[in-house]
Amino acid sequence: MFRYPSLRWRTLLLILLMLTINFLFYSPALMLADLDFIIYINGVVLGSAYTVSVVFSYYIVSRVGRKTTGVLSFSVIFVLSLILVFLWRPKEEG
Amino acid sequence: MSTLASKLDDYRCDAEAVGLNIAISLMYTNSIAAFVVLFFIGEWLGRKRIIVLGLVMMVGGIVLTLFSENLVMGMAGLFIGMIGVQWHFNVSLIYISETVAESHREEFMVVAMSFYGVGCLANTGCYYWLRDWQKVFIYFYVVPGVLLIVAVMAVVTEAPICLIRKYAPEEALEQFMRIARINGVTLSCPLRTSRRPRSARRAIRMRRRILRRST
Repeated sequence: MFRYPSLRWRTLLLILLMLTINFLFYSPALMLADLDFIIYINGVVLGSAYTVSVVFSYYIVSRVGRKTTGVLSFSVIFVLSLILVFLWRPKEEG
Repeated sequence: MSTLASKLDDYRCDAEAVGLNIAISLMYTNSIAAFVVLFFIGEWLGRKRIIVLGLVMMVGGIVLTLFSENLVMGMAGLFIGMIGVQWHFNVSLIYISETVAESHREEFMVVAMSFYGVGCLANTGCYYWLRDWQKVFIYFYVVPGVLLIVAVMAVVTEAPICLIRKYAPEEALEQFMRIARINGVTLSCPLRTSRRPRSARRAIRMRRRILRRST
């Protein structure tokens, strides 16, 4: 993993990537509780988002490739995260 | 103005909340523990055994949580159970990548991963339907877990590539033959599994002789 320079950089980048993906997945999941949703709706939102994203990504990856899909999805996540950050949070106002 | 009793109640709630957060944070370290242990035992035990062990740990952890009488025991059960979940979930994906042909690998992965989402939805539905975590644990985690252990032990073969890496070509050949038999395919190349090589036969004879002398 770390012996060859090309593998070393890829491994380090993949570690960073997995860390970011986990942050991106679990932070909104924890934030959903602040949005005054019922816990069951949270489960439905997360489960359906996961299922749809896996099937959708399969078609995208087979057409445009892994790298482009990664860059595209991270760009979408960046925009959506910004929207989520500036969302109205009812619990804080109450 | 709040009374002393209500203040004490507030303090108790806060203490419980802090304790609960720490417990939940500790529980989330299961991934790290699971992967560190998997790094050392993954190749040694093989894919099938890890999947079975993961399922056993999952069921055991859940049973421990079910019968726990305090928070620490409950969290310990969940910790063990989650390590088992991490093992059998990730090793199953590795198993797919090692056994399925490259042309069908992506489809298999997509089906397997999308069922994770379906599982999340089913989980939510179960909780909504029963409204009792203990019943959900028994009916939807323990019972399917035990059935899965039996099914995996009966149906799933060890990944031949893993056996080849472990320098066990005869066992790998046996698994290939078993897979071919399940698929109703006859292997094209003549494979000899009945007779061991001369060095192995000699080693077995010597081992038997030593055993006879010692007894």
